[in-house]
Amino acid sequence: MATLVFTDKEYIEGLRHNNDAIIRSVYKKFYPVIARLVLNNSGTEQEAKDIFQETVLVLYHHAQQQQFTLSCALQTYLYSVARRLWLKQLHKKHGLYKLDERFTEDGDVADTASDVEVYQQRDQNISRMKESIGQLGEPCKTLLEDFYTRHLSMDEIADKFGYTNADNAKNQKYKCLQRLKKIFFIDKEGRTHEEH
Amino acid sequence: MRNIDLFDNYLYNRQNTEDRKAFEERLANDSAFRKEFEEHKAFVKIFKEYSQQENLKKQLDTAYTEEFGKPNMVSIKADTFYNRHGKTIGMAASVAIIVVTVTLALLTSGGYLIKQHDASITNLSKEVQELKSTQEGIIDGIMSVKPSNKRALNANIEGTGFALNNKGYFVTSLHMVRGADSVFVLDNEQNAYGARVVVTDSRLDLAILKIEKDENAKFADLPYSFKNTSSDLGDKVFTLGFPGSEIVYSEGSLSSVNGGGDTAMYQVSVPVNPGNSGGPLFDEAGNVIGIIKSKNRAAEATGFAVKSAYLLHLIKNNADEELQKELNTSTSHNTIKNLKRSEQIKKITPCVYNIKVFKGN
Repeated sequence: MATLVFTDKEYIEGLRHNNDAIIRSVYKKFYPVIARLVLNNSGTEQEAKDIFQETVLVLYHHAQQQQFTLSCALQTYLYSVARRLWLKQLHKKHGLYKLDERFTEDGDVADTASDVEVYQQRDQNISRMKESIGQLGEPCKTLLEDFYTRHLSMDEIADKFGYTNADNAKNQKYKCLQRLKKIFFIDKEGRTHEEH
Repeated sequence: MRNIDLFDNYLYNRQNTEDRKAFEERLANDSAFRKEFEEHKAFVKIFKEYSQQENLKKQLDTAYTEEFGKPNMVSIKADTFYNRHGKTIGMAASVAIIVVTVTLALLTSGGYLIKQHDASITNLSKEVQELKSTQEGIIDGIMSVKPSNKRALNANIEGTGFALNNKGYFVTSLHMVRGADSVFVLDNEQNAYGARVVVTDSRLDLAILKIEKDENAKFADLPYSFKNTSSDLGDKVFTLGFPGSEIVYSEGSLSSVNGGGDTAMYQVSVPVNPGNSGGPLFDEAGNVIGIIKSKNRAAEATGFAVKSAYLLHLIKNNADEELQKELNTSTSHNTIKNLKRSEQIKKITPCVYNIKVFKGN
């Protein structure tokens, strides 16, 4: 099979739109470099995979912003983000590898440090959302995703879930969202939560 | 109209220009309203980002498997099964069996098996997470003859499934077979059949399987039928499943016709355990009234089962004709309704199967 070659711009555009072929190609092209970085610095294959995923997520997050532009080659950017993430993790794990400004001078590309910071801070909310949705369960999870992420209409949702009409679907969506908010905010305040 | 509906109509452009203008005016003038709107918007944003991120993670996992983790372990997986059934025993594969069996035994004695989240409702598949690296080392060392792939052994899920007809169709829970590399159906004589997933429904968490090739496969005629109507609160129910390697019977009653607030589910006071996922739920006459799905972690002996009527609906709308034709939904054609329980179980057992799922991570 012919290997497809994309420009950095195409990678970012494809990633922005969750294009399967591009994502596969991103993996193929950039994973080996980042895996080597992690493996050569006392990481395992699983850790390499995790770091790579997080690296792509950082890029994905920032690529969603319309004003996002790369100030360097994509590979340099990804390498720099991955390096930063991995050093942070090593630091957390071993309390070694002090992270100070020297790293910024010594290989970090401008912006990646703050990109990683922004992503990781936001990630706390996302993790909490993940836990909350785990508790929420189906069919609420899919229903909310259908509405808020996949932008299905209430008629389509009613049809898919077997509700008699769009109003019923809307009520169901309302209830699901209220429940999700309740779980999310109760957890946030650190109280224990029991269903049923 | 509720505020949230107004907010979403605005955010998702589902109102006419006039309403939009009125909404914007209210935002500008009513600060409490504006605050509520901003909060909602921020929450929806987190939700959306979460769900986009999860989708991307799934895509990345697929990309990884396709680019770097070609499942060339398939033959080895098949070997482990054939070994168990007395075919050629290869040393490598038998080590794999021991490792898998030991891990399963450990986990089954340890109570709850799903450890990754604290949701109070637990799916009931037995999940064997990553094997210890030392064990992988052993397997790798011995398997040096064959191409090895550690990932293929990483996840191994077991549960229950049962026959839909005598033509090799089965139903089980979707959460067991989702993302599977290979699915095997084991009968009570430990014959293993490779199966493929033919119909799924993620809302109902159901998957319909079909035996891949049926050279020697022969399946019993079903003694039970599928009930197309709802059962009543207080009805006595029972289930058969594979929380361990042997089939296990448990009974109780129907405690809610709206399990967990979901009209597609029953709540039953039947003690169910990991491994019961996908098992049949019967009424006293031996009609299938549901498919065991999950349990409530917080409460003892509270299980949830998808109603059989929803399964029938799924089949009617999605499955091929062979399955539709051969499905017994006439409760009067149930051959075990007048038998005592132990006799019913004897007849049903050959139609309840242990499902084993391999995932390539």
